[in-house]
Amino acid sequence: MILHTVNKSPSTQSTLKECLFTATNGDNILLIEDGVYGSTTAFKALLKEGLHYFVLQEDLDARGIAIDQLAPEWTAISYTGFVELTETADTVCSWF
Amino acid sequence: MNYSIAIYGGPYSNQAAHSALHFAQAALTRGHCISRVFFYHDGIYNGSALVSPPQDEANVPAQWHTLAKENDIELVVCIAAAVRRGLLDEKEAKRYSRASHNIAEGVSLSGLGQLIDAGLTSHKLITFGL
Repeated sequence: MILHTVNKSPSTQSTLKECLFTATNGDNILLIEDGVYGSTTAFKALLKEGLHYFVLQEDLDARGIAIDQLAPEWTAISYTGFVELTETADTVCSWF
Repeated sequence: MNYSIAIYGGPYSNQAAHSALHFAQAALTRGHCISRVFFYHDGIYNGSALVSPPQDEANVPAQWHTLAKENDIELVVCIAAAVRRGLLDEKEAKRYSRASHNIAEGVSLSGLGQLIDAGLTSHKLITFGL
């Protein structure tokens, strides 16, 4: 399993789209920094089946994005959760 | 587990060094070891001893230097990226006939091989990009 981190907003760059194109069944996706905008309902259509979706709570808070603005696929996690995802991943791929 | 971290972003340009710092703190709290942090591209500015933000603002480079000292983390700056941006140690300052040097205590200038080595010898290498 690969953990993909994405730190760019899908409204300014195609980083998330390219990441999701590359990710395969069972991979984990984690949005950090400006990447967290990708978890809002506006970008739900980009998501595909078979992946697990996570978003960093601290970066949501910093941008004033509330949990009820997220598409239902996303789970908000802390930095501790981020570390836990790296523990179980074979490799971590950073998209930036 | 044994982690290494690569940071490509400088302070005040983007969030990379800040995110990586929080990740490192969380990893240490979970009992992991961080053996090396490699600063590349504008990330090298985190190795400066002279970063002096207003007193009511976070000094992310200084926080890195303190965290490294307290937890025995090796802080390495890419020498080619650093010297061209004016981050020098005493040896490089002499080599380029510069009047002073500005690398922080506990930070070392070294080659890109140290990043490759970190990828090979750590269980995980986590990159915080621009």
